[in-house]
Order: sequence, then C-alpha cells, then structure tokens
Amino acid sequence: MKKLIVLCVCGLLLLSGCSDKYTAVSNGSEVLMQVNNKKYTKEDLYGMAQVSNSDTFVINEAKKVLNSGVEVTEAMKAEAETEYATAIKDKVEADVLKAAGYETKEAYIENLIYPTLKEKAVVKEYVRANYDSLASTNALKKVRIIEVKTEADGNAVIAKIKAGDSFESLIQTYNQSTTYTGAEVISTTNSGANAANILPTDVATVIASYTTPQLVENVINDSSTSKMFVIQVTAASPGLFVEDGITFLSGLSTVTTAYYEVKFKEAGFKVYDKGIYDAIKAGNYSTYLNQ
Amino acid sequence: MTNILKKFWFVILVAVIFIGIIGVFINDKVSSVFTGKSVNGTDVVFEINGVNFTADEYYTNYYSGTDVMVSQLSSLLQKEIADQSITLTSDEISTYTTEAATTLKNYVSYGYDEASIQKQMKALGFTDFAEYYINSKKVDQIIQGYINEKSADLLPAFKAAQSPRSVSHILISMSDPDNPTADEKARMAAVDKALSEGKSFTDVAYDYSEDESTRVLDGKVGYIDSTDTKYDADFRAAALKLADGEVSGWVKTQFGYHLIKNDGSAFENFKGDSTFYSSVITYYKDDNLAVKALVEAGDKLTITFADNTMYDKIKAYWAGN
Repeated sequence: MKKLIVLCVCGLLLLSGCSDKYTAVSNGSEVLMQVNNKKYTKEDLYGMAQVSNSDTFVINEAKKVLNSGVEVTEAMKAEAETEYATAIKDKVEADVLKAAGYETKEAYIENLIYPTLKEKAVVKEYVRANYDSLASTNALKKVRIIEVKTEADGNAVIAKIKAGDSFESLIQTYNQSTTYTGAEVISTTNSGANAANILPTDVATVIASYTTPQLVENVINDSSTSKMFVIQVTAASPGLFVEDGITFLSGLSTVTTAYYEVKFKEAGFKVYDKGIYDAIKAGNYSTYLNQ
Repeated sequence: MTNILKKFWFVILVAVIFIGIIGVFINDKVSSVFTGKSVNGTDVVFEINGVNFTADEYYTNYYSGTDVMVSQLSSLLQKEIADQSITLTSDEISTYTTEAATTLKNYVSYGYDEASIQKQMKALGFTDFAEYYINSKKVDQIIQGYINEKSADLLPAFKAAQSPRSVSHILISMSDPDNPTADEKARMAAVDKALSEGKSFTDVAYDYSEDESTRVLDGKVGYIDSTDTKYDADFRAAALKLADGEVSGWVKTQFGYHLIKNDGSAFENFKGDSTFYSSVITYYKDDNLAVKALVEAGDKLTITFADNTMYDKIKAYWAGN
C-alpha cells in the first residue's frame, strides 16, 4: 500500500511538470544589449517577435514554403520589375528599401514581390481548375450599368435604350457613379468582393437570376445604399468570359482563403507552439489549422 | 489472498477508486497538453509539406529586414535609459497612471481595440500601456531637462525667431462680436472700471472673465509663440505685440472681446510647459535635441551591445525618426 501511494504521488509530481509547449530560440541566453544590470537576450527578442502578429507572420512563412516550388516565370520577373518601379516612383529608392527593411532591390523583390506573385499564380491555377463551380457559386455575370439619380431617370434611360439610343451616350447624361465609367463589369453575389464589385450584393443577387443577355426592364433600387441602377446583362454565362472571370475570382479574398484552407490541410500544416497556435486560432486564419 | 481481500476490502475499494480518478486525471492532462517538436535540438514552430520551420528560422526571418532589429533595440534602449535615469515621485506616478487609463479609454472610444494596443505594447517590451505611457513621461523629462540645462545656448535664437511668452486674458464672450449688445458693452466697461480702480489683472480675470477654463486660473492662458496655431490668429497677433507686463486694449476675435496680458517672456515664465518644449524641439529639428538628450542620459549608464555597431545604428535610427 505504501509503495502504491508513493508511486501515485510520484506520478502526480511528474504530471505537474507536463505543460504546453512554447518554442525557444537556440542560444537564447545570448545577451544582445545590456544597460547597467538590465540584459536583453535573444530569447527576449524572440518573445517580442512572437507577440507582434505571430499569426500573420507564421501563415505568410508557411505560404512561402507551400509556394516555394512555384517557378518564377519571365512574366513574373517582368511584373516584379513593374511593381518595383511603381514602388520607387517619385521616391528615393534607398529610402523605400530602408523603410521596407531591405538593402537591395533583389532582396525587396525576392521577399516582398515574388511571394505575392507566386500566390497569385497558384490561386489563379486553382480558380482555372475549379472555374465552373466557383463562377456558379459566386453568380458571375457580365453587365453594363448606369447608376441613375431617380427612378424617373431610370425609366427614361430604359425607354431610350429600347428606342435605340447608345449606352455610351446615356452614360454621359445620366450616370451618377464616380467609379463606373461605362465598360462591361463583372457582377458577383460575393459580398466580400468589395472594390472588385461595383454593384451592391443585393443588386447582384437580382442579376444572378438572369440566364440570358438582356436589358433589365425595371430600375433596380438598392435599399442599403439608396442607389438606383439600370442594368444590361451582356453575358449571363460565365463560360463566355473565362479569362476575365478567372482574373476576377483570383482577386477575391474569399477565394484565396478557400484555396489556402484546402492547401494547408492537404500539406499537413501543424503548429508546435501554444502561443502561436492560440494566436492563429483567435485570428483570421483559424480555418487553416488542422489541429 | 481471499482472506486479504476479505480483511481489507474497503481499503482495496478506496484504492481502486483513487487509482481510477488518477487515471482519468492523467488522461485528461496528457490529452490537453500542447505538444511540441524539435529537430536536431531546435524547436519547430510549424510543419508544412513535411518541411519543419524552426524557432531559429522564425527569429532570423523576422529580424532579416535592415531596421527591424535596430527598431526593436532602440525602443528597448529608450525604455531603459528613461527607467534608469528618471525616478518619478509618487504623485507623478499616480497622476500618470490616471492619465494612462484615460488615454487608453479615449483610444478605445475612437475605435481602437484595447487587446491589440496591449499586444503592441508587449511587442515593444512593455508590460502594458500604462507602463509605456509612464515611460514616455520619463523620456519627456529627460528631454525637458536637457533643454533646461542648455537654455542659455538654445533660447536666444529661439526667442528672436518666435517671441515666446506666457499670457493671460479676460474674455467677454459674444455670439456676434461685430455687433456687441448693450449688455456686452456694459460687461466690458465693468472690466475697464475694475482695472482702473487698481484691481490686479488676475483678480479682475477671476471675477469677470467669461472663459471659465482660464478664469479659474486667474486668467492664465499659458505659453504662446509665433508658431502656435491653436489660438485665434487675432489673439495670437495681439499677444505677440505686447511687451513684458503690458496689457492690450480690447482685442476682437471670433469668441468676443479680450484683454490680453503678457505675463513675461523670460524662460522661468514657461519652464515646464510642454508646448514650449515641443516648440523648441521643432525649431531645432535639424539638431535632433531629443536624440541628444537621450544619448547624454545614456552616456551616464553602462550600455553594451553584442553588435558593436548597434549603438551608432540606433542613434541614426532615432535621428531619422
């Protein structure tokens, strides 16, 4: 009996030493800075690095690993040069590099631009492979719109279109939109489209019901924005604008997120630091976790 | 064996139940513990596609940008210089702690997330926002102390350029200063009468001024100079024309009519006023007085770095920010 009790107590003591894992950096006791008796070690700096948006940092590093095999094409190199030129336009190049934390243009492109371009490439391939279902889920249509001031204006526009007036001339006269200039745009019911979507989601939902190209007979009033639209559906089938549709869908954050949710799970993404795990779980990337 | 069981059945029963409870506890504890992984003695932060990303890589990649380590250490160095150079009184600690709580509350009311703010403070090496705020007050004291010490060298050019002074005022408030009512004119006349009878400006300000925030301070407005845009332009212009001790005539502004007094342009009149120090720092912006103040305070401490070029990088970083 005594031995049994001793064994149980030892077991409990052993268990009390079991605790969640928080990672530590090698040579953590190395002193980086000392002010009188106050020391700041590598471990201290590692701890501060973890507090600062560790979820975003880890996910971005994981994406780099995931996308490391993506080839940097000549097109990507050209696009990177263009993006870099835009970044330093009208600025002192050294200041731009310093602000970003890099000493050379090559390091800037390698660490800031290529990861984004590689991500765009893989997401685009994902969208291409799943275009039909994604286009259907997001109810893509191609439309032309005139944002009108009043319902009376809208009805007048509809009448004039039916009478043969050109859309362009009516845009000049009636359009209230500050962003829409008259070209065909893609309409989607994806409420996360934001700037990619010129139309309010509710309006896009109405358009989603149209299966053939046509002028929408009624002025559509969006109650959430108090905006009114005359809409001409120019392409009701996403299959008629595949490349535009792929580009559009690739730019949607919900599509990118859905892609990575699948990829992170397929790649067996697993976190081994409790603090970082909790940060990811509480943040925007919780659906990337397998644990 | 049977006899033992019969004799000690109760003890055995208790032991079995006890072992069962321990077993459940063990299982619960082990299954809830977050397990780690290490490779070649190095902690792994995450694994993806069979690739292990270690804590060392996390550290290296995080601090790979040119200024990231410099920025982090500069923040910590400033914190230490302030903490080790300045000892606050208990009243100051109490005041600043209250101010910190109010400031944080204001940030939250503007829409900032408190948890994110506190997280940011930890990333800078502070326990919380209160510690950060109190430390910033210590930094202010270092800089103000430096300016006070060097006032004989700094102030002549500053005074010539910006006409600093401390002022007070008496306001008769009006909704339409272009058309004062009979009552408003009568209130102005009452002020004139009180002053002509020999009452002091401070007493008259306390008794008659209609700017309540300064009335309770005997009319004291505080520091003003030619760059101070928080005051009405007409008020500022009139205040800057006055000699030490001089009282203006009635000055019309958007608020009504003011009598303004120059309480003095000597340094002692606005020593301690944070607006004055901000104005001096801005005037001497190319001289980086704040950096010089911190470096001078740091020179009194023993500061060492693993990278012997780091202190110069930090000074350059402070100068650029």
